[in-house]
Amino acid sequence: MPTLLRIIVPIVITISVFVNFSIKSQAQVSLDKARQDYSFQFSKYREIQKDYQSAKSQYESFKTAISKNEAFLKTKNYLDQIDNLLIAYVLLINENGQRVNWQSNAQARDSIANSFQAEISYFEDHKQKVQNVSTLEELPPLAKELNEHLSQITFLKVYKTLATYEYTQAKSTFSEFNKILSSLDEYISINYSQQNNTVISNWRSEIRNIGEKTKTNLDLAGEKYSKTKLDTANKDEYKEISLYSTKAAQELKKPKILFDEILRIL
Amino acid sequence: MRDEQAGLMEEEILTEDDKLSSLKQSGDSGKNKSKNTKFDPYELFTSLKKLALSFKKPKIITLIILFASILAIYSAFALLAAKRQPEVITQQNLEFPSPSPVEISDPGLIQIASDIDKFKQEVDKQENFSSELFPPVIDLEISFK
Repeated sequence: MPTLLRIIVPIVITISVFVNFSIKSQAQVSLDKARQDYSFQFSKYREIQKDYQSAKSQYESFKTAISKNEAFLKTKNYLDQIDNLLIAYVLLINENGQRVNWQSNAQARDSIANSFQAEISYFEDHKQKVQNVSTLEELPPLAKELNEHLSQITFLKVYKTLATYEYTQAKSTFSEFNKILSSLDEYISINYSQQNNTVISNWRSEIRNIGEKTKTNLDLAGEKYSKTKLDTANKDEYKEISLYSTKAAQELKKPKILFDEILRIL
Repeated sequence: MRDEQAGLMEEEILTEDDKLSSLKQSGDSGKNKSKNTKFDPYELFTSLKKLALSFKKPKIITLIILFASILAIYSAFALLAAKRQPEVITQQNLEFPSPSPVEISDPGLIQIASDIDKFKQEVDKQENFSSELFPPVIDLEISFK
């Protein structure tokens, strides 16, 4: 039995390390792919927009059936490309969730993924509607419908998602900070209980100041975050959450040197 | 006595004269020597010409001499240029003792150090997501006059 364990344990460890590594690399690949796709769709959008503007001005100048048909085809193509661009954009935002440490807000990850899946379905439906029209007059209402959907739903979901990413990442990093701090406190109290080391005392007070400032900013961000709707947030709400989360993140950059310093002292 | 003394004085004068004349002669021969060793470029040129012509193929020899002289001039210029090169001003960098990587041997601290590394990675990841992900500006005001 022990011989069997000796064989199985290294195999299991190797497999788990390999699986973990492959999951991480796969996630990075999908994020890079999403970035490239969005960039491609955006440059294609710019090209098609020029064609659409040219066809539109031709039609408005000449008002012929041929110029109208050309304007129809180019506008249809333009709206189709906008749908492609928006799908790529939503996928890019969703993939960026991989950069976030979700340990402090795990349930939000699935909620965001579901929310964006609904958006992708909407854009695909809209794309189909655009494909089904046969006259130029039918296209402006479809553009208006999409514009309203973007301003009332999609972009509000995007703001909420960005707020969630920034706040969650700051909160998770702060949890890591507190975990290290308690481990160090425990180590110091065991090994340095008899000594009156002023360097350690000053280090402790400095790190606690950072912790307090971070907590204050995170509390303010959390307060604003809790006031937002389940799936959406407006631009001003996002800006406030982002401001406090960024301040907390900046505070959390300071202990990097202090942690190295205390390891050297201990 | 006076005659004897006069004879001795004459002898002394004669020996001194001899010495002076021998010194003069040696000085003249030195002058001649220096005259003989004086560098004459014309003579050198003619001797070189004669030397070149004395060979069976004077053209080739001339070409070799020309090539050698060009090489000599070039190397002379190169030497001069190398000497004139300004000294490279080396800024003396102030070296601050950089913190050496922490070597941990205490098992109690190994886990903490690993958590610190993880924390640093998380901090570096923390950035403003809006810079990359802000909504694109799309023109959806589609209307025809």
